[in-house]
Formats: sequence, C-alpha cells, structure tokens
Amino acid sequence: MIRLKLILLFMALIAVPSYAGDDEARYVRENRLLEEELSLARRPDIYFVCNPKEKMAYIKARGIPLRELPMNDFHCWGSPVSDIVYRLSKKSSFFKPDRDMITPGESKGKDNFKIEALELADMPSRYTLVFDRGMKMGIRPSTEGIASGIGNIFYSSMRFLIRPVSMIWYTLKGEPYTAIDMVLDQNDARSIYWSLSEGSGAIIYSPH
Amino acid sequence: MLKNRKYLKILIVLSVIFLTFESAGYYLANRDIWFSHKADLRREDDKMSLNALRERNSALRQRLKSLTPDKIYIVIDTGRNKLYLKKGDRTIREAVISSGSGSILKDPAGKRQWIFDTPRGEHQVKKKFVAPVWTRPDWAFIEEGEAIPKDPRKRVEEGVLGDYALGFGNGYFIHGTLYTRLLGRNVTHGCIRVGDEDLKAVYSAAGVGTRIYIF
Repeated sequence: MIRLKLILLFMALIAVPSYAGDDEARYVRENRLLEEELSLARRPDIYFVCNPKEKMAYIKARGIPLRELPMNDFHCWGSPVSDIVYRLSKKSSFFKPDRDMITPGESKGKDNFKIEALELADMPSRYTLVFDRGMKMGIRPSTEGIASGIGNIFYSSMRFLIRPVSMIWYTLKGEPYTAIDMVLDQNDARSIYWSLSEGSGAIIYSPH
Repeated sequence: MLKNRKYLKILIVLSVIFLTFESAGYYLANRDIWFSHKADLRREDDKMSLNALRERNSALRQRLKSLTPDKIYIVIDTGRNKLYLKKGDRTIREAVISSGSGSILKDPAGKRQWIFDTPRGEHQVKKKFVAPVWTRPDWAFIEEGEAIPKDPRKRVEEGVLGDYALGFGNGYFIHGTLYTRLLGRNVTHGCIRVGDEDLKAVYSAAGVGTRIYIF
C-alpha cells in the first residue's frame, strides 16, 4: 500500500511540473501573439486572425472582430507556426476573379439593371493564401454536393502526396515551410478572399 | 515475360524511391510539429511565473477588448452588402446596402484610371449633409461618354443622393439611392448606398467622428 502511494506521489511530482511547463509555454506564445495583435490594431487596416483551438477565424480591424468565420476542419503541417505577424504576399487560385472594364459611353444605351460587377459570388472558395516566411494556407469549402465532394477528395489526396515532397524541398533549401489546411463554409471561404489583400497582416495561433 | 519483369523492377524501384521521399517528408514535418509545443523562451519578460503570465494574458486581452468603441460605430461588409450600426458588441440596426462594383474605367484621352472599389479599413464620418447635391466628378462624364464641362455649375446634380449623406473622406459617402432594386448588389462607384429608412437611422445615430469599419 505504501509502495503504491509512493508511486502515485512520484507520478504526481513528475506530471505536475510538466503540465505547468506546457501551460507556461502556451501563455508565453499567446502573450506574444496578443502583443503582435495590439501592434497590428494600431493601424487602420483589416487583418486576419486564425485560432484553430477555438475553431474560429476572424476578420478584424482595430481589435474589433468584424466577421467571425467558424472552421469546420483544420490541419497543420511542417514547421511550427511562429508567434509573429505574417504578411499576405499572394492569393493563389485556379480561377482568378476578373474586374470588368467599363467602356465609356456604353452605359447610356444599356439596361440600367444589368449588373457587371465583381461580387462575393465571383470569388473562389478553393485557393491558397501565400504568406511570407514560408507559410501557406490552403482554404477550401465544406463538401456540398458531388462536385465539391470530388474536388475535396482530389485535394486531400494531392495534399498527402505533395506536402512531404515540399517539406524535403524546403528543408534542403534551409527555408521554413508551414502548410495549413482550413475548411470553411463556402461563403466564409469567399469572404476571406474578398476581404484580404496583398500586404494584409495575419496572426495564426498554434493548434497545439 | 522477361520484359514484364524488367518493368516490374523499375516500378518497384520507383515506388521505393517515392515512398522513401514521402516517409522522409512525413518524418521532417512531424518532428517539427512534435516539438512545436515547447515555446522558445528567448525574451527576458517571457521568463515569468505561471501566475504572472496568466495576469499578463488577461491584461493584454482586456487591452484588446478596450479598443472596441464605447460610442456608436458603423461596420460595413462590402461582400454581403450589409451595414451594421453597432454599440460595443451590440448590433442596433442592420441594413442592406450597395457598395463598390470593383469595375475599372480608363480615360480614353489620358493616363487616368479609376477602380470603383469601396475603400477598406477604418474611416470616420467627416461631414454630414441634409438634402445633398452631387457634384459629378470627371469619371461620371467619361463613363457616360460626355465632355467634361468647364463650368462647375454644370457638374451639380440634385436629388440623386437621397435625403442625407455622410462623407468619410476622398469623395466617398454613405448616401441614399433612387435604385432601391439594386440594394444588396455591388453596383456603386465606391460610395455606400442605403435605403431611405435605414439612411435616416444612420444619419441620426452617427455624428462627425463616428468610426466606420469597412471590409
């Protein structure tokens, strides 16, 4: 009986500091990200916050959540997410939305209610946000119907083939490589493409 | 038979090479992820006790939350074409709007170009107008294929901006519209068009200095 108590005491002594250490690391990382967000909030620009632990992404300005985007799924791959502000360098998609060119004088004789505009529905829902420091965020919509189901199966299979090879490639080049996959509702996925532009800041919390 | 064996060998060798690469990639990725939960305590202020870190965390969260204005502010979602009149976390009014079309107009006579986007980010109400008149800018004439008048009085148009307008800088306004059928669509040259009732409510609630967040 005494032996059992001693074993339990020993296990508790080992477990508690290691748990506390994890908590400490989590707070350190979170605090750094909050400080980074406060510095981002000093500027009047739109920025993006992704918190996989809360299963939520946010479009924010000045610290105010302008839109909350629930995540349906999230995967992280490669080097750990850094506790810094990432800057969006490119929005990469198979079909890029095009702006309409207005021909001067054309609108006069035209039906006033024929709309030629760039709208949310024209935005892609399957695309990659390429950030600086080797961070890539693949965004895709939840499966709704056969077409998006096939698309998602294809995307997932390709991901498992391409990601390991990319990992080796970036390791050999000595550059960081982090890939995040996020599944959102179709309109939420489009909203991110719509709202963020090159240079937008992003804060990404670690999923661990 | 011999030829098939040769192909089979090649296939096996290629598969082994591919699988080796894949395994190495998986190993490298997971090795990084496994160690990612250990934060790098590189700064002096990170070497705090757990309680101090917790306190700092809630203080930082509080600071971030305190950035939300106590007074009324306006949030505009240009993707969904919605305007929200807000106070703190509470939405006081929600309105359907029309925002920028994103179309491009080039001046055939010169090097000028206009992109009809609604400007994103934080702005504030700079001026308020009752029964506003529209002073047509150059692009309005070019778009219609008309000559730009030299007399500024010929630019003035009444009754097209509704009963009220709130200017938020660089010629952009929240104003009324004759085209209520187009509310909810991206059809404007960058301004925010609002229906009559909603415009009245926004005009009454927002003063000069009211913050506008557009995304």
